[in-house]
Amino acid sequence: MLEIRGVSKSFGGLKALDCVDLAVGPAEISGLIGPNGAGKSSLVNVISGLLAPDGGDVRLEGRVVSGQGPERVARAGIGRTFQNLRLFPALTVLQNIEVAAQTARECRPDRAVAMDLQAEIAALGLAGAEQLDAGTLSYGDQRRVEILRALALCPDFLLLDEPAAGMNEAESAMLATAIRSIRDRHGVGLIVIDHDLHFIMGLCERIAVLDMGRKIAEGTAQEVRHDPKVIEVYLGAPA
Amino acid sequence: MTRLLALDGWRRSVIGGLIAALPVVGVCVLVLLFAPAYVERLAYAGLVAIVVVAGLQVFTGNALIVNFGHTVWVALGAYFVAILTTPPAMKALIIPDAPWGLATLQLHPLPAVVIALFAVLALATLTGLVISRVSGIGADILTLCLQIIVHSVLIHWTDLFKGNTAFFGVPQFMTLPWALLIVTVVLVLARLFRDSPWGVQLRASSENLLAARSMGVNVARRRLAAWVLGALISATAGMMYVFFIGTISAKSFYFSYVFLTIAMLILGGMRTVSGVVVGTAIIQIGIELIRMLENGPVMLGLQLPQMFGLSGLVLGVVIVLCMVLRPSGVMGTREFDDLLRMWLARRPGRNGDRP
Ligand SMILES: Nc1ncnc2c1ncn2[C@@H]1O[C@H](COP(=O)(O)OP(=O)(O)OP(=O)(O)O)[C@@H](O)[C@H]1O
Ligand SMILES: [Mg+2]
Repeated sequence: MLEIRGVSKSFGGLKALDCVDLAVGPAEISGLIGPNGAGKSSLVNVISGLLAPDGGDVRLEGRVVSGQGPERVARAGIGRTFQNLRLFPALTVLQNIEVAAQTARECRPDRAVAMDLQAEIAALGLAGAEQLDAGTLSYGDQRRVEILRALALCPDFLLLDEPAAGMNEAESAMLATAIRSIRDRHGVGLIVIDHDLHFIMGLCERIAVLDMGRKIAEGTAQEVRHDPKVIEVYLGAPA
Repeated sequence: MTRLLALDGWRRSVIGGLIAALPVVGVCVLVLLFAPAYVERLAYAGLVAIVVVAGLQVFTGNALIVNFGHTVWVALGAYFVAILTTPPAMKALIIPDAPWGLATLQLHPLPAVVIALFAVLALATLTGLVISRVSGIGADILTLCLQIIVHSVLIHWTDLFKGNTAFFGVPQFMTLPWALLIVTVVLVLARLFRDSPWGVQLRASSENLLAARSMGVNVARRRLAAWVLGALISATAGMMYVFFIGTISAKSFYFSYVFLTIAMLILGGMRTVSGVVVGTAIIQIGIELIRMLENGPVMLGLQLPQMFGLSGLVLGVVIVLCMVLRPSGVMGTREFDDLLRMWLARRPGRNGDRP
């Protein structure tokens, strides 16, 4: 269980996150949507330890993981991708993945042994690209490598910040299938951020909506879609 | 993919290191067979430089932190074995007041080398614990401080290090073939580290620190490992040096040598072990050729003027050109064996193997 409890974070006078609560169960795919600047990436940064929250905390299986730096969070079993790609460009695809796999071998050896990375690479359509420098790949492929790299941590939870950005409809449909398959095979719980509502509604069991740092709605795709507050601040017009 | 591509893991690194050592071995064999004695001495100096630059590469090349302090390990390695192995009769002249009974001690080179390596291991671990926690320019500055502190100790602790004048009388038993063996082992070691999971994590942290940390990489520990391994390799170079020349003086490892070896690393390409060989060879050979020019030789019947300082000038210009035209150095991010593998994969008729 991954619990975000009353997390707040300000930048100067700007409240990027205002007392946000969120809980994700094992093997649950949770969506996080909201307009630009709503605080979605900030929330991922707090969960993954890149930002220390001003208030509230993040708990993994009951243990507080927030405010201890990103290494601890990754080692505790939470993996993430970055909205603005942050691969290691001069390392090969395989070496990028290897960076996280080594952490898994140190922190969760049993799972690391069980993880068949070659199969995961193939599942995300990157077979044959293992020896290419990550920086030479298309953005779509770089996003897939980011997912693989985070998955190589053998995490309990994965945070995907706009994994389908820049992908066409067919590509994001394939990505949704791949994400679901990752959940099914590894029992990973996920928080997925995206602006493509079609993608999110099709993929996620639960969806939370952020606006100006506040969670304004939460529920199933149907519930969120028809929530008047969501329609007002996010969709602008009925979806 | 070609079959070579399938070859992975440590075997690939060992073979890669051996391939990097191959041209060095080739040149040295020619030197041993055909060249006059003074060329043999130059070749030996080149081998020492390769080991120094390899030690530098292990830390700077993988962590991308400039190390202005690496030659302190060369100096300390050399001084430690010198103090331990020089005959007491000689030490009565050089360091009669050495502390801890060192003036009357004489060890066989083998235990002396082991003790010296352990001493460097301890000192490198202590300094590394501090330096590995600092990122960016702060870390570069710390390495500079280390250089200045250690140099100052070497100069002023005259009872132990003899101070500003040369320490002499160290047994000279090293030969070119042994140095060649050390170079080969060191290049393989450097390559093994670069390709190891720790080396890959360290390189990752140098490319994107936040991403590496977010993948659970304990960056300080990886840096520490590279720092210590680099120091041990550099110390080995110092021992190679002193057991060949028989004398040391602290100033020969000071800033001009720091700059020279950093230039070698930059020119060859700090990201690869192959670059160590390439950069060292180009500069070492280049400087010898320029030194001949400096003395004003007769060429094609013309008496050329003496041009002292030319080598420093050319060295500076070469580094400037390199930074402007090819900042990642001659080798960039590819090792010799990577290039070989790419060339094999591209050869016509083998396309069927490719994905
Ligand atoms: N490190 C930071 N320093 C200062 N302000 C920040 C920082 N990170 C985010 N912000 C601000 O916090 C607010 C929320 O940003 P955040 O990136 O979390 O939004 P988002 O929901 O991910 O938006 P997008 O959909 O554009 O990715 C924005 O106003 C942003 O400018
Ligand atoms: Mg964002």
